[in-house]
Amino acid sequence: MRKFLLILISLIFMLTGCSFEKGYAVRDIYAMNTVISLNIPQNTKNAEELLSKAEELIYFYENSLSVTKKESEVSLFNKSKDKLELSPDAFSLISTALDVSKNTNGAYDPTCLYLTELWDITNGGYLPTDEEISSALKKTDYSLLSTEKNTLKKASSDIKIDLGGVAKGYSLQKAAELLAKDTEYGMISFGGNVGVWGKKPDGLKWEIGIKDPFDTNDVIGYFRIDGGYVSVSGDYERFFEKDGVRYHHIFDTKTGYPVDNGVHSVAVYTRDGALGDALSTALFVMGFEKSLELYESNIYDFEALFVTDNGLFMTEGAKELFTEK
Amino acid sequence: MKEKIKLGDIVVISLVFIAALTLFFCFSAPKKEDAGTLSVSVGTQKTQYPLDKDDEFEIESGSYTLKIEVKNGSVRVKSSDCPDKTCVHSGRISKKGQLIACVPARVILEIEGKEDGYDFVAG
Repeated sequence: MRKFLLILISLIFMLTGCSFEKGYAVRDIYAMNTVISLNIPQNTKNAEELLSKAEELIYFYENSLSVTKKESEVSLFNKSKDKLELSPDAFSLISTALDVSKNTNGAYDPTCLYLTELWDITNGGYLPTDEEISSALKKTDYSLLSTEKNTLKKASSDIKIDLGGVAKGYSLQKAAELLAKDTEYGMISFGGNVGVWGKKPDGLKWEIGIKDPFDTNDVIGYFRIDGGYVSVSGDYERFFEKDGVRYHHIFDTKTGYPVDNGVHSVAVYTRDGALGDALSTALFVMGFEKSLELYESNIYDFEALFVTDNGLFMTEGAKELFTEK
Repeated sequence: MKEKIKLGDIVVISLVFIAALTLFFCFSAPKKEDAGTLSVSVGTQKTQYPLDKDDEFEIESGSYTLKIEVKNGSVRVKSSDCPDKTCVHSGRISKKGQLIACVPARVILEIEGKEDGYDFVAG
């Protein structure tokens, strides 16, 4: 009788204990022109100190990689005549960026700064003339960049880079790796990108909802994953409208105009944050058919989900991870 | 052999009964927070608003003013004079894991205290 009661009492306390473990210590910060939410278990030893370390790391990357910080490595390279020796982090990131550019035939292009500055979506948008676009395109070409040892070189002094399309994913992964060393599990939301690690106390896999581009109040479904990074590129938040036409922030570097191929959102799942970030942009530009060729080439390990005018399309592996709502 | 129930057993049984009742109400009774709350962070200041009560209010932050609308358990930024309007374009949010951010104004709107939803919403 007593044994039975003891077991019963223990079970009750175990159940109650589980519900307390659900809580997160959260730190919301502004960096890289977006909001970042760091979430680790509340019962983590020195949780606040750990979150501060991750916060500092993100600011460190922002100071090194931001195109708007005057003393960043990116700005120094843009001001340079022909080359700049980079830190290992910046070099690793530009190497990933150039690799994706080559393998996607420029669908992702880190030299698109002239275009993004011209369209100026972050300040309300500007509809440029064909001449202005043509002039910007002359200075947009990733093939004029090359690397040697730790140095990034440019074949024309006009070339400028913007690593905004990969820096968020890279910083997300670095922050997640830092936090994962001292936590059992956790998650980071970094703009449209999400990173998760470890096993949740309820034993279930992580459920990452994917925003519905046609109804941003809702999700189209969710990825069920045991860790890694989900990066999303979409046309539904960063845009401006002029004369009834919507101009969004993902540009086709062949035409100089926002991509208009029927794709509205691409969600990419990877184990490499920077790669996922670059690929979500590249696949958005390429559309599903060409993206599938890249997927089948096995150059990169990723899964992707496309929301298009003609419905949902996804890679083979994504079919197992994704549950439609 | 027949066991006799002692006073201590009755005390323990009562404790277990009370604990079971407490757990029952914790897990099955409708929670006040089920409707969820809207958490608004302006810089480092955080304020909670009920989501089950329709409301409209303004947030001033930096040099920007955001008009917030709470309606039918969801929330949106109805208008904003920030330059990129990403917060307005974010539409409505109503589920755990969703957030709206206005980076120029340093304002974050988040849904808290709801069980339906996802660990996070990407996009």
